[in-house]
Amino acid sequence: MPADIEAIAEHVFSALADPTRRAILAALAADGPATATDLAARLPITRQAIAKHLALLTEAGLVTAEPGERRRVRYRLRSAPMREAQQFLAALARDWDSPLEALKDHLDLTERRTSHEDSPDRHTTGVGGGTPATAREGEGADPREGRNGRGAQADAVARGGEGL
Amino acid sequence: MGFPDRIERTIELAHPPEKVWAALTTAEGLAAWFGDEAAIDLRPGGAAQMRWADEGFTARMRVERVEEPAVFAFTWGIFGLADDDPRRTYVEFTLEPVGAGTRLTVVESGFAQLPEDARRKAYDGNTEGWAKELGELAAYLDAS
Repeated sequence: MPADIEAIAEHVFSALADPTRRAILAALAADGPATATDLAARLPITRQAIAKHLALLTEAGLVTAEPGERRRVRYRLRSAPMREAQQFLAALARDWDSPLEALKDHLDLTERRTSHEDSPDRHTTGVGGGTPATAREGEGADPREGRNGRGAQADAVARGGEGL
Repeated sequence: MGFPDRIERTIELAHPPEKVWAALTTAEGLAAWFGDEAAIDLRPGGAAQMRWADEGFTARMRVERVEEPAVFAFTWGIFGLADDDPRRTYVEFTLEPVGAGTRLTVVESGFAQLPEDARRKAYDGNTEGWAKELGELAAYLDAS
């Protein structure tokens, strides 16, 4: 991973670690470009403090100053660094452990199913069938926690599998 | 240090590669352990998708490698990025027979794959694109 990409993400995370800077970035994201004076009117922060944070955010490349008279300079959010940071979060949020466990359980269940002729339909799954049979046998809690999406179902399958 | 560009996992499965292959490359198999629903056109360049019902989330994949029963690979968008973001990660499953079972390795790579210039261009293009669209809309509204 090139160091400069990481440096960009670091700027984003540092910026977001501070509540005042979070508020400034959120205001620019929600309502578009604004001057330090605009922001001071909307946020419970002095104009001086906002100007200081805006200078820092500009230096970090998270906002850009549009040309204008000194007091009328409007600041605009730069989304590019945010997306860099999102990429890193996506890598951290990627969960392969759960789906691979689910694959293992699925194969084991399929094996048992084919060797038990007395309940051939018990674990039938199909395309578009929605909830697999194993998930119905789970604890009942919603297993799809977090936003990583892909593979969150694994927990349900794993829980269902243990009881068999 | 740093963040992962590449994620790798290996798992030993007590089933022959043919069975594992079916679980990875058929709609029925994928829907049984990965998504809630799945569809796949199993050929390089073919489209595949998986849907997670509760989250209302659909992942669209492009099949890249189909070498039965040893290598299956696809690309998909990076979760958390905008749907139209051009960047995709590459997911490759490798199946090796081990005794009566299979050693399955999954590698997902490309979380930071594009060179700085290309990314900068794509981003600036997007940013400018929005500014341009909004400018055109404003001009249109002004004129009417």
